[in-house]
Amino acid sequence: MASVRAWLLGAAGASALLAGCAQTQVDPRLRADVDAGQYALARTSIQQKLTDNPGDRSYILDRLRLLILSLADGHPAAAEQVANQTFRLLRTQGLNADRTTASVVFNEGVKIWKGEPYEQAMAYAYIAMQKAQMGEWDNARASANSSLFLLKSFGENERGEEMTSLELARRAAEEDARNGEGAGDRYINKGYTPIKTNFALGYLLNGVANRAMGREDEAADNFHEAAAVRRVLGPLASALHTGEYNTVFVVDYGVGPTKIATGPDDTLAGYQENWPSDDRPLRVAVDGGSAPLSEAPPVQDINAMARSLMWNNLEDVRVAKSVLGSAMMVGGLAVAAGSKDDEARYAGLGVALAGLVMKTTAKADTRHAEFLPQRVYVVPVRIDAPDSTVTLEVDGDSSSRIVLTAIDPPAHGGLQLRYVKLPARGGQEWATSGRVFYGNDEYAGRVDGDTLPYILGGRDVSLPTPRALERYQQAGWLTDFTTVDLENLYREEGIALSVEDARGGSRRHVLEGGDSLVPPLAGTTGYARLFGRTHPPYEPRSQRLRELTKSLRRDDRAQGEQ
Amino acid sequence: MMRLLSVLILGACLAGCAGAPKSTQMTSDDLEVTTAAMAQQLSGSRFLADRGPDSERMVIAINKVENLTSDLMPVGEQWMLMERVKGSLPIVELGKQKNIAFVIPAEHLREGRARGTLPEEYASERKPTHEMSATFISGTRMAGKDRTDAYLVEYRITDLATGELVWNGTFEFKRAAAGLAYD
Repeated sequence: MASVRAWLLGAAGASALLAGCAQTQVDPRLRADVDAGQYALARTSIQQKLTDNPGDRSYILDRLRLLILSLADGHPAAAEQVANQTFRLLRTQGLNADRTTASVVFNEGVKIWKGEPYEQAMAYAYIAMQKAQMGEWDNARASANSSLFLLKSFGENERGEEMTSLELARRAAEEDARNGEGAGDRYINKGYTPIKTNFALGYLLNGVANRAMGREDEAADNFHEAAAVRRVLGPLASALHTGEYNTVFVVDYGVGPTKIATGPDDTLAGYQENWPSDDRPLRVAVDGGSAPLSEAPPVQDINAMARSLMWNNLEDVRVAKSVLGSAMMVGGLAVAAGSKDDEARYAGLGVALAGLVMKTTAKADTRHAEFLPQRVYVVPVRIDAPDSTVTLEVDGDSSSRIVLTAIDPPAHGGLQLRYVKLPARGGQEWATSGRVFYGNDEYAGRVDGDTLPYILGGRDVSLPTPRALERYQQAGWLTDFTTVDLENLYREEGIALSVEDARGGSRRHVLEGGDSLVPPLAGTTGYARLFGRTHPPYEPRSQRLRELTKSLRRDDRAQGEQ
Repeated sequence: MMRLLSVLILGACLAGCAGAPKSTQMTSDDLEVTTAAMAQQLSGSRFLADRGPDSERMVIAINKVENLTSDLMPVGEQWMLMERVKGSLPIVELGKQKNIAFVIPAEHLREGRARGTLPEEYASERKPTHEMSATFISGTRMAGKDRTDAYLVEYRITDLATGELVWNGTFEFKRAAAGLAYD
């Protein structure tokens, strides 16, 4: 009997452990950083913990988190690797198929997170945005196209509404009861109609990508589909199809829903709204250009997607687990308690243990993409002049206002796309400063103090190019320097000058205490945060820079005294 | 009984580790076979055979692959797929015997000038007469758990003055996979 008790304890411990393993939610501090628009802190933190093992159950989830935050911070090039890796695994079928046995016996958490269909569609959309921001419109098209997969419709309930997961589970259970075991599974596996997606964002991105490639017919088809999905998108689709624009902003607003375990034995996945859905438009104003529409309606409501059965999956497994777990536990305990035979007691307890493990761990997997927004806007604008300013604000929420500076027309004509993630905790001072406080490679205008690099006490964070050096030397600084000397100075400080230097990953900018000089794209939240406010002076790391800084101060004082 | 439970648990763990996922995405083998086929078609083409040292000079600029598939193709790969076909040709020999020259792609020139790594006057005499380009297209069929992607690849050399297609080669392949797309 002692061995049975030991087994019980072991199994209970294991089940608790397994149940705990399933929840790999993001650190609340990181979440707070994201809400405040401090995307650099959050993305570098995720980058440091990023696993290289595609078999790791958080491989895609962590990459999607990093992808969203890198784009929000204005660094699409740094997101290239994670975008490609995410795409490759999303496009792999049956990734978890061979894990089914393990997941049924133990826990959903052993599965590689691939996300619910709505999260997968959004992941493809972010990959499309990453490619579009890099000017790779053909790859943007490929990814946007991949987001438009068929959905499953189980029809409506008695009230004429889309069926919920609980109603589907009940119907499946009734099928089992009426037509024998397996009938419920058959209903879930085959009782649906494959239907065309209602993912308006995917259609619009696909349309924009095709328009950028000069594929007008395919663009028109996609814009038409978006308007067919939601009639309110008609004017926007029409503006994207025929309007005069060269820049498209994709704007995330609000916080997406939190996935929770709910229903019988917590086996069903439900969604708790963090941000209410509504139809308030995004207002846009352009200084240095124009906008075909002064306001644009929300294109995608993530709350609604998460709620919709057709955008979810795996309820069948969860319900089956719950039913099986409960039945096994009850049956097992009854056998164990009633038997006088040791072998039968062991057998009964064994089955009961398996039931206990299953019941404890049948809880729905609540891992989800926390950085999805509540809604997404798409706004076309025409940028005519270099260093233009675009102001975005959600109607009725003045704290959402962001002023995006230093936006140029596309370098070689055509189209450009910018992704903007509005901070959930609005009202950040930098978001509305409308100023550029530091000279940088994304800004052609002049800034006070841009005649000396930031690391030497100035206000310039341009890459060490001949043009930048010429500016310093014209002001009388670094006159004995060559471009290579300047590059070496940065390298001695351990500062990355390119995404390749940063080994393709996410690093923080020197202005925010990091070791990268790679500027974010103008027209993104990251750019507004980095250059729209002042930062503390740079703290030199190398002896050479300390000495050089001292000598420059001496020279400055001497000049002042003359 | 305990042995049975251990076996069940072990079996479940092993099941969790086994099995290869499937995808219809192009593989590096597909790309290798494709470029080899294109190189073969180009080197054996009438277009090249009909040319001699006295033919009118042909200056070919290369463009990167246009990706119209549902796969991602990194930009480096798009250039590599062109370079592989070009690289299979005896470039020096072509110059002497067929009066054909290849020049730096316009995109590389533009980027180099923008970065300041190439001087403004670099390749000012480039003046291409022809363009070599390629398109990868795919079509998808899905039924239940099965998905098939049919790929069609076309390489072209076009006369820039007339728009005339002077050579084209095509290659097709298919990839099929089974498994739930969302799983």
